[in-house]
Amino acid sequence: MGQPYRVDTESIMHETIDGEVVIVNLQTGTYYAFDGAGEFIWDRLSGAGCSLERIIDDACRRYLGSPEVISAGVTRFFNALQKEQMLKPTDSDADAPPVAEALAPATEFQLPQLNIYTDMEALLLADPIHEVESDGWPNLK
Amino acid sequence: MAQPEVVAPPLPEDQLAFFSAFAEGYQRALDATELVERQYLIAGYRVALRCAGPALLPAVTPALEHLRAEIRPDPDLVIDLFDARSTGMRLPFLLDFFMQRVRAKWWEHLGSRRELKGLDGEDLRCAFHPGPDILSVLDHSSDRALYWVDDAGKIPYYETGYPLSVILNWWLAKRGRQFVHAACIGTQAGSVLLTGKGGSGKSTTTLACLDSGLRLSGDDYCVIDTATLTAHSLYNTVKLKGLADVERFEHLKHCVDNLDQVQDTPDGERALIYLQQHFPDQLMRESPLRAILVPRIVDQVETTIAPSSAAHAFKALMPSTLFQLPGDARNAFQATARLTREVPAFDIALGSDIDAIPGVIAAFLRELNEGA
Repeated sequence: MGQPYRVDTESIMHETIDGEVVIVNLQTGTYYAFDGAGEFIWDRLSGAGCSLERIIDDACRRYLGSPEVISAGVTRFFNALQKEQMLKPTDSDADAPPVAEALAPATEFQLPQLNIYTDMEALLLADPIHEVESDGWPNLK
Repeated sequence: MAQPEVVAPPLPEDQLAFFSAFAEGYQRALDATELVERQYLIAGYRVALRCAGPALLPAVTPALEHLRAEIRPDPDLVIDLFDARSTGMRLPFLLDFFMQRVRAKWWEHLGSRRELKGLDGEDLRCAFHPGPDILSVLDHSSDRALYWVDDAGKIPYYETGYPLSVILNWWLAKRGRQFVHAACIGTQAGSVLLTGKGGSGKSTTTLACLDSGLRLSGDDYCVIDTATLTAHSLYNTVKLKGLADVERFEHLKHCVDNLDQVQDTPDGERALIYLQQHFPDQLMRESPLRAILVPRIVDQVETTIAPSSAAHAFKALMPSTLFQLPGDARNAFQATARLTREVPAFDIALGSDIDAIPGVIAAFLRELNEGA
């Protein structure tokens, strides 16, 4: 298995509500949401750590569907999380145990889509004197 | 541009020295004038404002007037307020020197949420608002806060409309009272939060509900007791966007507090109405929270309400609640998540018949109240 990663909890908070994961980066103000298989992938990364390869293996046991499609979907989602700096590498001994066979395939694999919301980002990065309306910070021009 | 970054926790000794210097500044201002005290019952707590002189009263009290209470000993929170200009007292030398530096290079000294880097911590909260130059500090261990501004006469209208929000948000959050960026509409029997981004119809709906039989707890902020799911009023302020909005709600024009300052430009000053002065019976201090409504404007005449998901309500309520106020964002995130899990969420599709909107909400609330 490869390098395990886990959620960078110093700046990231997350809640799962109605099967939808909502994440916020407290440093940048960006927030995110996803559902489908994204919750399963996120769950694997929220613990001590998990490698991409382990998540793909687990997802192939967890979901019905072509292993190629699942692998490509998980990899794309994982890369999107990395690009948004939500993950950090962790100890190589920390790879999570595989998901129990008992969970094996129950539902179709639904391609996870990371929705990114940046409307709050500008608030945190704004010049509170020159880039705000007369309403004052954080109401931007 | 202020750059978000993680900073080391402040030293308690530095925090104590800072707070002591600030408190000394208040005492000097008080010695130069007289104590003017007001007390308010805010979300179940007695909060005392102890002003050094009367200069700050017009800036910080109108929006809280509906919560005013008799003065009694031992308030739960004391906020000491002072300004330099009216009292003729500058801050103590080293603090004044430091604040001049913060003002000159605020981007070096403030975090992404206007907290003072190197001083703001869990027990002692410090934030500075450059521009109007407002310094807010709260010591949780003594339940004492200090609020300083250079010139009370230059406090901007948005601070007057929603005063002391930084300190109150810090303090109330520790007591399970969560500030939320939402309007609160209803009756004593039950209320709804109305939350959404700018342009979603929240303000129009709130204004339409005035004089409709429904009451308001707030148009922009209110406080939720997350244990009992009770909505508490905080400010009796209602805001109109500009002259166009004032004309649209012509019947409210005579109530606008700052009409001569309102400009109909994107950057123009917004119109403020204090409901306590003009519609005291329309105010609701507290009510059981029944639902969260997420508004959107639709191309139809009728207004309709339909169930939505808790995640949708969370995404509507959480971002501006978290990022519009300094405070503990982690607690606010968890509190708003709990709130949206426990309170049912609905979409309200706002039709073009604005006058009919209050009736739709009132009927909806009656159903919820009967089922509660």
